[in-house]
Amino acid sequence: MNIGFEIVHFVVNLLFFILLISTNAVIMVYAERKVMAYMQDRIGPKHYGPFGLLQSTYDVMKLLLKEIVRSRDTDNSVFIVAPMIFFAPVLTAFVMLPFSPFVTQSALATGLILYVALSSLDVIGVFMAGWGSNNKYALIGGLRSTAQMISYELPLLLALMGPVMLTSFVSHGGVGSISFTDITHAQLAPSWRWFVLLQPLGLMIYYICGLAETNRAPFDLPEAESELVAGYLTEYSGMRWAMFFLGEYGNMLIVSAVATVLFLGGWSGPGADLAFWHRTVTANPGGIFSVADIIFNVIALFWFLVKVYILQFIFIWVRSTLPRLRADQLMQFAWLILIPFTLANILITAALLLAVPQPYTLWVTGIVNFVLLAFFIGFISRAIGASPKGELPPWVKMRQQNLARQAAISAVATPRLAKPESEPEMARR
Amino acid sequence: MPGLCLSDTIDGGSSPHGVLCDRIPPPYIHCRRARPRRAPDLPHLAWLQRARGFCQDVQKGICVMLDLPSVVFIVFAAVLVGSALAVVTLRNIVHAALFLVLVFGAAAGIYVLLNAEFIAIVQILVYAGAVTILILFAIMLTQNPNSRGSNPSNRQTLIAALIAVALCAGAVFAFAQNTSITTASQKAISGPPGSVVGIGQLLYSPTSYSYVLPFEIASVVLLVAIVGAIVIGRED
Amino acid sequence: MAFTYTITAGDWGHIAPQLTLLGVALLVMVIDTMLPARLRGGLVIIALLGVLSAAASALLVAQLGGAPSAFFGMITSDGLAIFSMLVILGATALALLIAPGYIERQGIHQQGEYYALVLLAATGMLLMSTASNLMMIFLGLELLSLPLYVLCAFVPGQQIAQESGMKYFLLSSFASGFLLYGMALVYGATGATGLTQIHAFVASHMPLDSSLAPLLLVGVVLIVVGLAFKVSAIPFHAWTPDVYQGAPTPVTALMSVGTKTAALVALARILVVALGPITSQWQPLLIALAILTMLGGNLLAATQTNVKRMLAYSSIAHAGYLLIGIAVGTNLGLAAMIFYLAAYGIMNIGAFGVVQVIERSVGFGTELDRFRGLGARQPWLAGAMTVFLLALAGIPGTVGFVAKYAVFSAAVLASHPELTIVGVIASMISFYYYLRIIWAMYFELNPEGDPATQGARAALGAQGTPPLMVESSGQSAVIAAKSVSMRQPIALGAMLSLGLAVLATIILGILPGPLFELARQAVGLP
Repeated sequence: MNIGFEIVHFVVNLLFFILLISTNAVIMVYAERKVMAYMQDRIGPKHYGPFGLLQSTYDVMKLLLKEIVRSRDTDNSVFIVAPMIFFAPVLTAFVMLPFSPFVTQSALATGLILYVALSSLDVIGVFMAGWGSNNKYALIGGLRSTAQMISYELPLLLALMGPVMLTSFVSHGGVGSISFTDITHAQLAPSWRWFVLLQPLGLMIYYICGLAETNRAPFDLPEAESELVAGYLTEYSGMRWAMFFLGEYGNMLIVSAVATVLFLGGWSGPGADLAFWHRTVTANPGGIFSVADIIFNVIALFWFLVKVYILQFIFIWVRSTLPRLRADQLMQFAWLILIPFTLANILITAALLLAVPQPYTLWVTGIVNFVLLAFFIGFISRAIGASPKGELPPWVKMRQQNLARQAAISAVATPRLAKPESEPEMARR
Repeated sequence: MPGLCLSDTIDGGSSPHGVLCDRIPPPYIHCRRARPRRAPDLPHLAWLQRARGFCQDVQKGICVMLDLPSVVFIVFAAVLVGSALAVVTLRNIVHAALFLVLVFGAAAGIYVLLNAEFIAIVQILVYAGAVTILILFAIMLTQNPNSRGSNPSNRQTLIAALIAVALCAGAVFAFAQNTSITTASQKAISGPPGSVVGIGQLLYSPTSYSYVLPFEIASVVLLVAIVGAIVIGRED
Repeated sequence: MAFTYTITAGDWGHIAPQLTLLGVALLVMVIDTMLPARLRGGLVIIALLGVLSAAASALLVAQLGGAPSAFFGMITSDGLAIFSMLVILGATALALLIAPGYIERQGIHQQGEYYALVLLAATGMLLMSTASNLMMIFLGLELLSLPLYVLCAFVPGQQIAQESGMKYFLLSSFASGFLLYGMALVYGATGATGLTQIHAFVASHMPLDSSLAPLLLVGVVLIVVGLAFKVSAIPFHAWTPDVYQGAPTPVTALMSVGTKTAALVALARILVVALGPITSQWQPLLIALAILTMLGGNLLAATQTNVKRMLAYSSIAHAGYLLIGIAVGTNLGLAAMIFYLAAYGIMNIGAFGVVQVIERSVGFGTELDRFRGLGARQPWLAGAMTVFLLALAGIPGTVGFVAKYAVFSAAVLASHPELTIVGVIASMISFYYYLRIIWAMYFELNPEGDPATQGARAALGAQGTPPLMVESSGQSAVIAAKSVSMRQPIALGAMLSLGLAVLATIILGILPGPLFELARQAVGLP
């Protein structure tokens, strides 16, 4: 292995990641406005460039040129350092993501747990912003965010146990791995065996926790503009604000990328994982690469980004669909629903992997997990609207009333004019 | 490139440990990557050699030449000690708690240098990511960031400082004296692989040397902590 | 799967007592949630049954024999382990017996958690006294400390209880830090955490050269500091009186006996067993500790007027006598030490059992005044207290005398007469304060018979306490006015516990032979 190659590799990757974060933010801002506009039957930005494509560029210009305002009584050092602390783990987290067989910085043996560790560090930045601003809205936002991130880290980590267990099952010798590269490889050979087919519940819960970790709707309480101005971002402006902004979109990218790697087979896709390609890569890691290698790398990168952007699209979709949760519902959702489900998922998956005989193991595991997923969705639809006092969600109540009324009607068999019920109160909000 | 050896002195041969780096296996763990003392034959790194400048007289055993791990170690150690001092001396507890994050981070860096990658990451995850956050959370809820009023300075600072310095000197002396024994513990350290799989086998597999019982007991300790916290915190 | 899981059932059998206690603790917590409030007093029966079955399984382990260690040298079940387990379990049982009445009087509602935490603390004590690996010793220490922190602060709404828990938590965590640092240094010096491996390493490197000695010895000193804190040896004793006073008295009783037993056995294993080859290196340290603790504990105890605090200082003094057993560095010393532990457990829990009957609210109402005239009011209670105090002082005819005799003779036989001399002098000092309580019980009358003036006195006495305490003291003054010159009711369990302790104190005092023989066998003496 020659050192020149290493250096080139490093520089290329670093540039790639930095450009990816900033470009992704620009793309996502535009996409968010446009997609949400279409979902809400609007047009969205349209004045600058064709289809408003230059809108984001103008936004960036505005951010760069804005004055950086700081109020007098902030805790100065904390206030200034906070955006950097927030952004640094995001950039670092790209270290262990395998975008393609070539575009991967390091095949860290501890990739998965490093990801969790880095995502837990984000909280410190948010806290520092909330505290340093010396502003009650910022403080409340920071407090909420801290509680939320701590709570959702647990089910997030537990949901990731599924792919790890599956990796150790499918790999030879039963010795598993928590390296992202290894987990991707476990989903490639011999045929596509994406773990979403075996762990749909894991992906679902991971994605929900990812929404909470990135403070996206419907978990965007920390920056709920209707109650907290802008949460911990209230006092920030200009490039400092933009750092948080970049960090958040980078976080979304990472959450989607990790979901892609762990559940959607990473960079695998039509054309990317041909058999001879594997042979060259595994026989000659980081060595001389041929034109074919480059072509297949590009294809692999393409599939990876496609999957990532599909997941990011769902971020936007969720945002424009679901209303914000209340603070206590948020906590209850994590502790009373997500954590029990993930624990059950781990137990059941482990038991099945050990108990079911070999040729059927993965089939049974996958089918059971789909059943669990259906149960989970059913459970959420029952539970999520229930108030803490044990009332049923309004739609369930309405359905029960309707059923009771129909039963009464059919029993008495006298047609009676159904009086319209009073509008049931919104359980959320 | 030999490692940095703490017991070395610039005067070289006069010290009994002056030739430590090349005679016996390097006694410090961060020296483990030390290679034979001859300068590596890398022309593109020659400028770096010149810039270091203080390792010409290698024959006398002056081996303070720093390789990359040593430099990184010094940086991490300085950050660690400095921020630890800041934690105990700063009057603003929010700042102190934030410096605690730095302490844990620097410790994690030293773990990485020791090839204990997994422990380093767990250190960040548990201490920097969870413990400090809980501390910060408690601070936010109590809303009294300044300990100047609640925690006035006492008159025993001098005595405490003396004792601390004495303890520190004793520990440094003990470590500095130690030359041959560390190899024993080095054997113990370098025995199992430092990878995730190795740690997993150490914790659960009893074939070689198992820590399965301590692991289970630790979980009981955590259970006790949870029950205790609920008992203390419950308002009834 | 590549892993072959070869831990056998025998391994789990070796920790059967610990597993039993742990299981019962969890069971108590689960049952607690199901029982209606009025039946929760019954939980103590489950807890007691758990302790008894743990003791039975400990005896079973001893009977079955087999390999002396389990889990690859993490846990041992030699005679020392079995004996100390029985001492701890006995102490736990006695402490559980005196608990229900006390809990009722102090208004503790969380009974399930109380008993569960007591059992978990006992589990930690068992683990620590059976551990044969530094790591297990530390985990056992943590497992016994965490429940005790909570139990110390268990009485709700009492500032003294919270002070007790907080003080114990902070200082004990600090001491744990010392212990852990010492263990790290010993590991760095020897490359092993198992006590047998450490022994082998040290034995093969005798005499210690200048490169090995500092690291190992600094480590040993730090370990001794950490464990001496738990033993509450002077100069690491400062927490003891405050914590013992503020903790619920049954917890104090358990803490004073169980923690000492666990910590002393662990210390003995580390020093005498693992570091036996370098006895001459650590012996001066232990001798100094023992002398300081004996003299200091007794002198400080003599100045106390609160009996609970006095007993706390007396337990410090007894830690000094116990340390002699380790300091002499012989197996006979160890046998004497564990015999002393058994004896001390019986008489000390008995004494605290009487104190908890007298005690009004936690930490208050145990002044010497309250004992005046007790002999006339409640002759049986006073008689029991007399027996315990005489035993603690070491009067012949009680188990305390035999225990002291064993320890002192071990010191003489190991040619350390200075320890014996200091011990005897310290015992002389201790007569003063033990006999003063007896004097007060029998030969002094309660100065005011009138309830009203008694209440006023109590309120006046409260002026010395911090301002925040005045309110509750005022309440207790009212209670005092009602209950003065009345007999303190003794709960059934406490009666049973006190009776057992009195019997054991006297019988073992007259016939110590069998128990001492057991102690000698436990350490492998013929």
